Amino acid sequence: MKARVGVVLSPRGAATVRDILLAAGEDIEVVALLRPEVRLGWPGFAGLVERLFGRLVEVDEDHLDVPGGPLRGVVTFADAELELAAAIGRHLGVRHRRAEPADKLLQRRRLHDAGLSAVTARPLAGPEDLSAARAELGLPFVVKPRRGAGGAHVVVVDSERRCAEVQRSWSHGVARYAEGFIPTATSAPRSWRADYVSVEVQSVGGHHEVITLFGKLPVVTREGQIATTGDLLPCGLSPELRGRVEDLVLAAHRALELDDGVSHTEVKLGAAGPEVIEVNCRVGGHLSRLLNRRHGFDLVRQALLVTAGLAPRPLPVEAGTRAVAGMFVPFASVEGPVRSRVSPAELRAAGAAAVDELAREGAPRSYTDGIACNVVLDREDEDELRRTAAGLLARVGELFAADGIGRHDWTEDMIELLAVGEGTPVPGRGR
Amino acid sequence: MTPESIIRTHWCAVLGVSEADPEDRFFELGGHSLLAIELIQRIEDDLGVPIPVDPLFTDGSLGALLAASEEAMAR
Repeated sequence: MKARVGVVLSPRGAATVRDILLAAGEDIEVVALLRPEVRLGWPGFAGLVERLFGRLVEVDEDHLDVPGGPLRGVVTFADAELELAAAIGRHLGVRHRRAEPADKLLQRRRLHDAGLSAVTARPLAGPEDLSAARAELGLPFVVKPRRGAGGAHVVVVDSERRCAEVQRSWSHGVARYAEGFIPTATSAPRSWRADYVSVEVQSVGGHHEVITLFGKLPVVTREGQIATTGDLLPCGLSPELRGRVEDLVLAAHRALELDDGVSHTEVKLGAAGPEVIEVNCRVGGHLSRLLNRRHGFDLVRQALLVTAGLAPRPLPVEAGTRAVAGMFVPFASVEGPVRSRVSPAELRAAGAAAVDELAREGAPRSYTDGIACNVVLDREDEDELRRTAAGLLARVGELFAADGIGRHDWTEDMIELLAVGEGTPVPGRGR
Repeated sequence: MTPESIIRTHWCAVLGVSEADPEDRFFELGGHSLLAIELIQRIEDDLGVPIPVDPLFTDGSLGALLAASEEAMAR
């Protein structure tokens, strides 16, 4: 008999329904749980869920029962549904992850109190609190949502002008807080690798273990908003620094008392050493595909196994030179329609091993969150990955020329940063 | 049009590609879950039989979809 696991689904989850379907395998039955407003607002998504999982159960804070046989546990891959998943799990008396540790302000305070972070933070009830935050934290400081991830609604306030802009454009739909800015080591040269990494951790019965670390591509800032641009395996850290990062993240998990599950923690490689940026109490988005490709390890499946109380899979062992990357090439602006017509075949010909998303001509750029294409690269080693990435980005610049990609933007910067040695021509760019 | 050519036509239209090889994988060519269901529904509308979704979602190749559709029509 399969282990039944309730999964609160969302069209904005870090795992797609396909990811979850594949991860369930032969031993887990996914019981699809969906809010009524999601079913009404996204009928195509609800239809997909019913088609793939046989049925869906409507749930919300006033309807926490799940008909059918007993569940082993409840999980979600969507930040916005952490409370609901926890409420259902609590109500049914089954394995679940409490949502309180997902509050970033609470995280900051607990980590600071535990001596694990030098960063201080304060709540922001409204734009009127920004001046006090500026006085307390100094410039620059960071305004962040108390929930959510991926850089959405994160603004670095580095000037009085920016402070005034944030006050003017304040929207009250998102609970925010302010925290001190974590400076990067000033001695660090500009690099194609970002100054932060992520750590994926599995927690079972209060015991936390690192699954793996991902390196990152440098973020892009558009209209004051930060957006992430890609993930890398292996992470590229020295063994010594990797050890420090892992120790910090595991200590953070103990301080936050995270329940059973898989989490995604971002860590800045700061001037004074590693600093936790945030702990996300669910699987990281777009990461399982890379870990699966390089190590045959499925993060989503691991989360389901842990939630079901089944034996988790042995953790991946770092070995070999194979380098994989997921890259989200950004438009310079999220506004307006996509002007370029690009086919997946053109991106595959330019070196993409897979095309996971591609902005379509005529569609609003916002449909893909301002991403022109989301591709996977898979090469024998890091040097080959860099060359391929540079060549692919050069070609993306040509293909998306009508949208301005490759001109004074992140893509142009990355091509230069990825260049392999002086005088070495970048494939696709004449020099 | 033959069932195979109908499937190939819809595959190309949904993915925005001009060619379709049986080895091509839907989710590596910009396809996602909602597009996959759209593809299945288009095929079902034209062929008049329910098409199992698992082969497309688990294998993802055009070949697997063609085989599943052929089997569904044979039943």
